[in-house]
Amino acid sequence: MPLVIYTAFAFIPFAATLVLSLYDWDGLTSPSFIGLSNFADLARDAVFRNALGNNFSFTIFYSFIPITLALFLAALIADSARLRSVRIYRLLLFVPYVMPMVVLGVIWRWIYSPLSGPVNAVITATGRDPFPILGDTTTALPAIGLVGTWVMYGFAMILFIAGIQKIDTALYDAARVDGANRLKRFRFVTLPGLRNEITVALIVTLATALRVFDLVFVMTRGGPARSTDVVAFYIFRTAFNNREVGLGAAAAAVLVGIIFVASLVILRFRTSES
Amino acid sequence: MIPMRSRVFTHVVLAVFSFVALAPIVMMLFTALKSKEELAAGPFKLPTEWRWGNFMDAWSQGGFSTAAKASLIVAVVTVVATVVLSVIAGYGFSRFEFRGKRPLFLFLLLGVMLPTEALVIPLFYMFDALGILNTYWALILPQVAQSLAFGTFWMAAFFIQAPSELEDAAAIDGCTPLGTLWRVWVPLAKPAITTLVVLIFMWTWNEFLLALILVQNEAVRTLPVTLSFFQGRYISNVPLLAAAGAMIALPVLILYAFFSRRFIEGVTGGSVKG
Amino acid sequence: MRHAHRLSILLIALALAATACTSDSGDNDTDSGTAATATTAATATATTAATATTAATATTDGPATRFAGQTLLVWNKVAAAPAIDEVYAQLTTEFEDKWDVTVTTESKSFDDLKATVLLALGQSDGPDVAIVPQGRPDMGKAVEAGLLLDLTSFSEERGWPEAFGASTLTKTMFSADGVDFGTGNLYGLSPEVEFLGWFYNKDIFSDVGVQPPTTIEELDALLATLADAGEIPMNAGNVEGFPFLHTFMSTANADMSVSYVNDLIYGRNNVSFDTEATQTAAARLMNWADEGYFTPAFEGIAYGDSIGQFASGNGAIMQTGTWIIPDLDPETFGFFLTPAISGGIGPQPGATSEPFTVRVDTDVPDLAKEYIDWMMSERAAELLAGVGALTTRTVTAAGQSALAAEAQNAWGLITSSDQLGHYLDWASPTMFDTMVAESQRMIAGEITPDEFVKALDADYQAYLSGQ
Repeated sequence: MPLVIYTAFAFIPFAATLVLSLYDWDGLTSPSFIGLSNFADLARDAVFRNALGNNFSFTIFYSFIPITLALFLAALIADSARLRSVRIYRLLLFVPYVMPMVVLGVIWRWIYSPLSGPVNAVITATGRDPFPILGDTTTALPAIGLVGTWVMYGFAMILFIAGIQKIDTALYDAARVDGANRLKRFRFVTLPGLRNEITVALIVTLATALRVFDLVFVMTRGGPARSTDVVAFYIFRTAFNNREVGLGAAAAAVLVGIIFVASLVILRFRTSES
Repeated sequence: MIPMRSRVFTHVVLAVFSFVALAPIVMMLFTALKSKEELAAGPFKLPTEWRWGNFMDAWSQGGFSTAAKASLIVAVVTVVATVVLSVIAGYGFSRFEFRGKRPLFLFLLLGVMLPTEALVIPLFYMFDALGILNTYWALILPQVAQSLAFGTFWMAAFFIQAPSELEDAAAIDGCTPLGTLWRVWVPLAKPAITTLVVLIFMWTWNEFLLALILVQNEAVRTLPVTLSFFQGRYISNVPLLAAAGAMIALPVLILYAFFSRRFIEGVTGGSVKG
Repeated sequence: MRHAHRLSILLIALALAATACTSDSGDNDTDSGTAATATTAATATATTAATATTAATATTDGPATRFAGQTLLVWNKVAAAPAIDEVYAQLTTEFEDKWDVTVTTESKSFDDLKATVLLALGQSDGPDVAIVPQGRPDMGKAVEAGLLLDLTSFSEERGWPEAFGASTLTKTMFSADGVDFGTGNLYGLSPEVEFLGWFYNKDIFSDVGVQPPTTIEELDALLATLADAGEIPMNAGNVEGFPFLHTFMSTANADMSVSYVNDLIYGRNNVSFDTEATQTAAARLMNWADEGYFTPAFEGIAYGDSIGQFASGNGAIMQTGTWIIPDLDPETFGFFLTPAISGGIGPQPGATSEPFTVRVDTDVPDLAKEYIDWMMSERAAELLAGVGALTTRTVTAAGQSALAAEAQNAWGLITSSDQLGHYLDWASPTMFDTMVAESQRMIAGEITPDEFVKALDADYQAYLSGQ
């Protein structure tokens, strides 16, 4: 029974996506088999390449910044991470992660708004003109990316705090006896101890960055001038608005491929290091 | 003993980052209680009069009662079905040897990694053919299927580490495998099951892409999608939007407040293991 | 794994076959192509069958109750204002009483319709009457797939061409194969119209001492005067991209001839997007942007927010569509059409709202057509106009506000002088996306107005050569 549901509504659709990616189909009339043409079209399509590039840019904001930041903080507080009072912060840091992304999109769209938004309230208070944060091709992507950073740093910190608590305190004591300073203790005790957690944080945040959809849909619909367009939105538009189902399926297949490869590379890297 | 200075430092760092994590959400709550005019006067001011009526207005104008019903039905059915099936499947995987177990395990693992984007196009046409597009089933079935992969791993991980002596005792008492599962293991697995429940509830409640594409009927539309359309219509009434957003996030936040430890354990432990 | 793979192909074949509403899906052949082709043929036969039925019943002009006991499923769209929804409900009730039938109405948002209506029209339990988004990507696709009933002879019988004007009807006309747009058979019509124009704040205009312009140069001068007076000349919000495009389309249309715009949209006579009119319009708008005539940071303001701003008195002019009328105080705001270079009016982008259409396989084609004719009736127009809607049939209604009356008169002027233009993004399926992206690049200063126009033409020519 569990297997039947899983196969019917998860595995078969996945396989069907791969099959559909080989067809030219408008969802209504008869489909025709065109081999790998859809993938060739994607490779040539500047709109798709731009969307994919934006997803890669998002990995900086969703993955690298929050993980670096969280590691830095973990290094700072490693000594006292075991305190009971740390729990309350864990509780608070995690709140953005449990919120529906759509709600976060609505909040942040307002935060960036030139009308009554807090960021522009600060800008105009200094006597400058309001700035169209989500309407400017240079700032829209970082602005959405920062929301990703904001959601993910709490997640990464919690992961790392939990990780630190699992590290044998004797290791820290031994390091201290050896005269290791904070930096050295981080490098030789904390960092290796967090190997699992870093792997997980990388896989989760990268997959999220590559799949960004809700925030873009709610905040900018991919604009301005496609500067926040992403692959998931491209799939949505091609398959359902433009009725190029095969092309949309091919884009989905590429997305899955990239996520799989990225995950495998991270896992391989981890095993080779240990 | 951890030095006082280090302790204070840890608190300061964590407090600052917790504040940043919460500030946007708290601002949304204050905005939800303001009038439009008050908001125009400045986003940082506290509301002069607490307008709880905004919540009622948003609720009735956005048609959120039908959406709340839809969200609740989808989330509850998905959670119950996934948890029951995951417990059985996880138990089967951990306690019995059978042919093809390893390939089956990998087959399921694929499900943990599959993003929704890879499934949604065929699901749309499959459900259209089955005539269940625009029904609760269109949202429940794929979400059960996707969560099932994770749930099975999660429960299997629990059962594997649990002592097997208990089982032998139960077997001697004449319990069938299912009876043993129900009488012995389920009570024992309560913490793991609770974690699974809260995680799946959160995922299902917050889900956006499937609901956007597979359901086009207001009567079945879930809260996040309803909010995104509400934003389209009431974009200029930020307090109402904020009120709507707050209401949608509320159930998850309440659940989080009560079961935060399970949430955090699930997301950290679960991902580290799975 | 391989087995599952094969299974999935079978499943897709079945799914495809079923979507195309075949009755014969028991075909075990995994070649979905053949199954679906057979289906298309079946649908084509159904079309002829339906036409035959129409012809047969048209002659039997029975009593009012010839539909007695029949049921009709209608997919309508959620109206801009609740009052308009109520009018449709009232009209439906009157229709039910008149013919002793039961009508079930399901109201869908535009997004819903766009995503699902074509699929629903292919299903045997789909709606009998449905709103279908206009233009090639949706309505054209539906005609091509043989989903819609041809209403040409019915419309002539009921005098639609005379009542609503030929140019109004062309926007819902296609050749039977769905290839040619703006010609051939009529597949639907809407009792409501929407078109682009310029709303202005009368209070600000009288404070500054200015009048609505009669030529495009006067409009330039007007904006300058308003700016000098410290007002925001053009209220705008362009996060979504389309609001700025509407201003572009309005000014570009005004400089073209109706026949040229028609050729552009219907893909005839090898016309081009790279014209003097589009060049001038793009350059003019960028000049306005450089002069700071638009709301500060308008690129980051959402369209809905900008309507709210304008309604509450910020900004002297807002160029947009007539759908914002319900949001504006009818005493404070006035309306004018885009002036042409030499005065008077050129083509004005606009169209009827998304049309009612009839599903080709409906069991009740005559009742369905009767329903649409009822929605196009004088009675319907009066009720709709009474709650502030602009109607395809120009009527005077008791409850009409000053602003709505002004806009309704403007529609009368457009149709009587045959100056109905087009939304230029209808020209190709990808034109909207292209226009949004390229115009935002132009606003950001990444490309010049000339490059913008050339990018639109590149999209257009690529589409034409692919046809």
